[in-house]
Amino acid sequence: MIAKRKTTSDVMFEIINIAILLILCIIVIYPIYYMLIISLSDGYAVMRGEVDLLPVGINLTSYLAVLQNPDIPRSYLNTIIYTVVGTLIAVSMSALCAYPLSRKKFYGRNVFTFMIIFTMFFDAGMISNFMVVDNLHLLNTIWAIVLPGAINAWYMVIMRTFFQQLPEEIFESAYLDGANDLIIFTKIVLPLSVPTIATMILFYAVGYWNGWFSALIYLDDKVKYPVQLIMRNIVLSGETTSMSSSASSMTGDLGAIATNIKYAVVFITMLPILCVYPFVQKHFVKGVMVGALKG
Amino acid sequence: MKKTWRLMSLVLASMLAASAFAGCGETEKSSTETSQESTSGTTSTASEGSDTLLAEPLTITYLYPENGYSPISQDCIALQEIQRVTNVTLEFQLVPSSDYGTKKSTYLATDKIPDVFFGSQGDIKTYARDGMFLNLSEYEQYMPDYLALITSEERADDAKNLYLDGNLYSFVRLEQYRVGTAPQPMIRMDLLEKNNIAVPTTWDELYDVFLQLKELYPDSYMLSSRSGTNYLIGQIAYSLGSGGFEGFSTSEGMYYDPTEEKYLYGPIHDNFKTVLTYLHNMYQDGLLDPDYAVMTKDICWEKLSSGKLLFYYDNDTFAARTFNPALQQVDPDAYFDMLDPMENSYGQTRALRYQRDWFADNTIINSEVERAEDIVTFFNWLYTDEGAMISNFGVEGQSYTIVDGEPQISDELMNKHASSSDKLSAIQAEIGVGQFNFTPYINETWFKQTTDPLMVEHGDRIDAATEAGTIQFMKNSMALAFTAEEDETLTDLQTNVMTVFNSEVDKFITGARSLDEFPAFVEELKAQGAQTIEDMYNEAYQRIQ
Amino acid sequence: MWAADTLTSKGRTHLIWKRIKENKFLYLLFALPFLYYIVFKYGAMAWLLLAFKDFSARKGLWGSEWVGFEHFVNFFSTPDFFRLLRNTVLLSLYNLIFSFPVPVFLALMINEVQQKPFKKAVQSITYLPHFFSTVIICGMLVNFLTSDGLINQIIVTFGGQPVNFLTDPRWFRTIYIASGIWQSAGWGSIMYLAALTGVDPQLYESAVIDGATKVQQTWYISLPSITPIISIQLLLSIGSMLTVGYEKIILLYNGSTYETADIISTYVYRRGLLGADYGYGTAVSLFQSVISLVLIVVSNKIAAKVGETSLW
Repeated sequence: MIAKRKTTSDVMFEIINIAILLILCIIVIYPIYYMLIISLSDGYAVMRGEVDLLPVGINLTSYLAVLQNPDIPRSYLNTIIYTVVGTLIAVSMSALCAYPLSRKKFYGRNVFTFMIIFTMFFDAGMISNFMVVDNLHLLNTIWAIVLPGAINAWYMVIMRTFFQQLPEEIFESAYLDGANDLIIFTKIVLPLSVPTIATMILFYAVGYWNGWFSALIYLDDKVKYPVQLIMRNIVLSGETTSMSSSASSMTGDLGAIATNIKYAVVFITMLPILCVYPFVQKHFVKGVMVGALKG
Repeated sequence: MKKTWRLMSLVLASMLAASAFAGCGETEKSSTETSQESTSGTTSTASEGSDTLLAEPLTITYLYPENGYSPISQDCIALQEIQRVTNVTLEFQLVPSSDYGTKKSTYLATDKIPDVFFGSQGDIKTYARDGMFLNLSEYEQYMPDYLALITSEERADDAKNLYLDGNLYSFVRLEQYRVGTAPQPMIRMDLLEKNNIAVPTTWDELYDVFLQLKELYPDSYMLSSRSGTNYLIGQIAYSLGSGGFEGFSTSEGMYYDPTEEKYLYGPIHDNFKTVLTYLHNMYQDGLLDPDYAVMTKDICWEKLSSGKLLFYYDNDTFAARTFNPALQQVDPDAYFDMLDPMENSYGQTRALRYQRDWFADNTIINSEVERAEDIVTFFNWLYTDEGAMISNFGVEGQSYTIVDGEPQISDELMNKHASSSDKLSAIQAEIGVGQFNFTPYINETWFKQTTDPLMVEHGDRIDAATEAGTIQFMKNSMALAFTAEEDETLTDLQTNVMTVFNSEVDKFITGARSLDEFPAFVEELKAQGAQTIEDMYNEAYQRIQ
Repeated sequence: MWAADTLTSKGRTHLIWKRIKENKFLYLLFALPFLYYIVFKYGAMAWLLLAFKDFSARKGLWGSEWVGFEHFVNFFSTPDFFRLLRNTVLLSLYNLIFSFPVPVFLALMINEVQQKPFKKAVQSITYLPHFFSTVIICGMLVNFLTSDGLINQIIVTFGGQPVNFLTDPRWFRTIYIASGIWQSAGWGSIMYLAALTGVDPQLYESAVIDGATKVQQTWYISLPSITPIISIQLLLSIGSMLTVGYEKIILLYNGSTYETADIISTYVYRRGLLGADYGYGTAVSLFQSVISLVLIVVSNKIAAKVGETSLW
């Protein structure tokens, strides 16, 4: 590294840069902070609108109330299983799909790519997907959750673009050394694409973690429900969109779950998946790929 | 380029073939699977003897929505008792209620509905004509108790709305007993008392009270809405001499006018101008919350619980259950109390209360079930005294005891849930009964034991006003009375009329459009077919009478 | 394409087979994904025919009656169809124009931060909003935007007049797009941050020697090196531009803002047809699919001509 002497314009740039990012962070974090203090405050104080900068009557009852739900532990475990299995399958499948499509000598790659992008727009909808899963006898199994979304065309195309950016020379020398595509893919391409793979793991994992729709459609057994489906039911209960019929009853209107509990639910569901990012971030080091090439 | 296309067409062709296969297989398979499902229900072993309702054991799979705050348990005592008495096992397939509609429509569209499901009148309209549901009219001899209820004097008129082309397709949820509930004018009575303001009995007096309160509490508003403009209008319009949007049917402007003895489309009649004028004046005088049109339930609740709103016209029970406790933490004297129905500028004193029964809650039976008679017999049993007792209160000696002829919650249950914020729901969830469970014939006697006496008192006053004729029940939906063709026309017209109505109505309230233009507004609505909608309603109403 | 025209058809096939054989391992790798697409995606395609049928659940897809283009005619004859179409196009277009560049800039800015802990903190904070559901976000938005909400309190503190954000049709698109950016900019920047790891540090070093400022380095080194990813993302975004969901809009609009907020999908939703009439629903989505396909094919052609990137 050459010892850098910072010019005034560079210092200015850095200061402005940091200032803008700081403001952005505040804008992003305040609403989230607001939800957090609401979830920690006393229900009636929240209802009276007394909470805005600090929690009022701080307590954990809303969290305890949510965690008392007997369905939570099991559904949490389900979600973890679906996320791990799903991500493993999805990242491997996407890489398997992206690598051949990134190679110029792969005859038919344009047609195949078009075919795949075509499916992004022409989706025959809920019933058709249900029928396919049913015909494959996957209903009410984990496979109904993890398989239909195994390749996200958008992510796959991005992955292909990353692979395309690998310098052509390494492939040429590998071929000269007698390596075939299987070896190149596993021994060279994948190790060189750690940041890409890490990003894909993050994207797919978050997708599976947040997913509830396929579970709703394809699973019949409550025991198999992921946590999002259970939580959604808590957060949405009392919203006018759900089961309007019960609203005319005396108890029906009771269905309003207090705001502090709703927000507690939000934090309980998102906390574990937030822990994935730091592991991904670790691989976002400038020049890792170039370093790997030289090494 | 050429060969690219050739390859592509080859690939596409093979795919179409593949998809055609997938499609073909489906119809065949789904039918075999449904029949398998229903047979599996009957293959139980020995019967338990003839003292049960059914001699042969029967398992009924029941697709049912489950609320986030009131989970349904398969081994609650109510279900066990039902099985003991009837030999029927209800096997619930529970779907989160937030997304129940999506799951249900997937099942309906793919013809995968289990034996029985919880559905709406819309489902009956869309699918019953295809023969997907059991036509109960062919099984009338197995359901005498249910039929007796819906043809009884107090229900007969409304129950005409339950028939589609003259046939009955569902068991609807009926009321055996409830504490009276209605959307009623609710005011901060403590402030009236404190400032020696007389309790208003007419809408004009109420307006004066609003003005006085505004002077005393300039930061507060008098009226808002928890669900937008139409909901607000629906709460007050009928009492003010017009109507429409009542209850939760916020997308329709139709209402039944007892004086004219026919259906009216509220917004196209002169009386509706009175409603708009009242709201417009309130807006001008700073009485109507400026955010009335965009308010969410949470924000509205916040304002009512913190003294920022001093009046509401909505479900009377919110006061005792929610706002009063929140207010009293800060000011022990604060409370909302109910006003009696008020006289409007046409000299009428009238208001609405929620429908007696729940016509939107239907138990619908798949037409491909094997033991249809037995299933009908079972659901009919739930409407008998014995069935209603078990499905509302559980088991005598365990969950309730009889005191003065009325079932009382057992002490054990009461103590167990003493600290719960909503005792009744918690107790009902534990034994597996009530609105959020499958109970089809509702008895909420227990409310008297578990809630604020203020609520019971309000209920008595609402019942008294109903007797006196100043409060009428809201009419149940006429959805089933229309033919398939009429339905299509109605959907089109209603969407168009509502689009115009919704884009304009707030302009009148806020003053962006002068009320002198009301006749022009009526013409705009009529141009979209509002008059036709009204005529179609009355035609259908005549038809079913 | 190239020498193909001069060869006989037999020779051409032979050449193709030779190429395929040479790269058999690529085809082996591709087999599983190919199967996936055939089974899960193309296996369901036949159901697009629903758009031309009067669907009856008992009769199934093939048994239902053909109605030709009836659903399309119904759809196009919606009153105010062009207002709905205009609103849809404008909302998606503005959304693309304003939302697309933000993650790119955010990534470049984060990339320039020297202080490691701050850098990590910014990354972790900005991506958080992605995890909140639409219902939660919209509930909070309304809360902040009412006449006495947080935003208006700030405006009043600085001597301004309160604004009717939620009932003024002129504000609707701004609110919709700004909240979208708030929610997804940080998440979107992750992809670009990953791409930035591929830049050779030597490039920066030599730029410093040449006396390039930080801004110049960002502009001439960082940005060009992630251009392929940006172009691909842009192409895909253009393709899915029109698929604006109704959920967020119905939570944010009301009668007063229909003028700008009512789009095709919200209208169809209000009409209550999405759940009940599958033929109509499929017809509407097929219409959108065709437009999307045209958009992506055309923009891909342009991209291939102008830059070197192409989707296929």
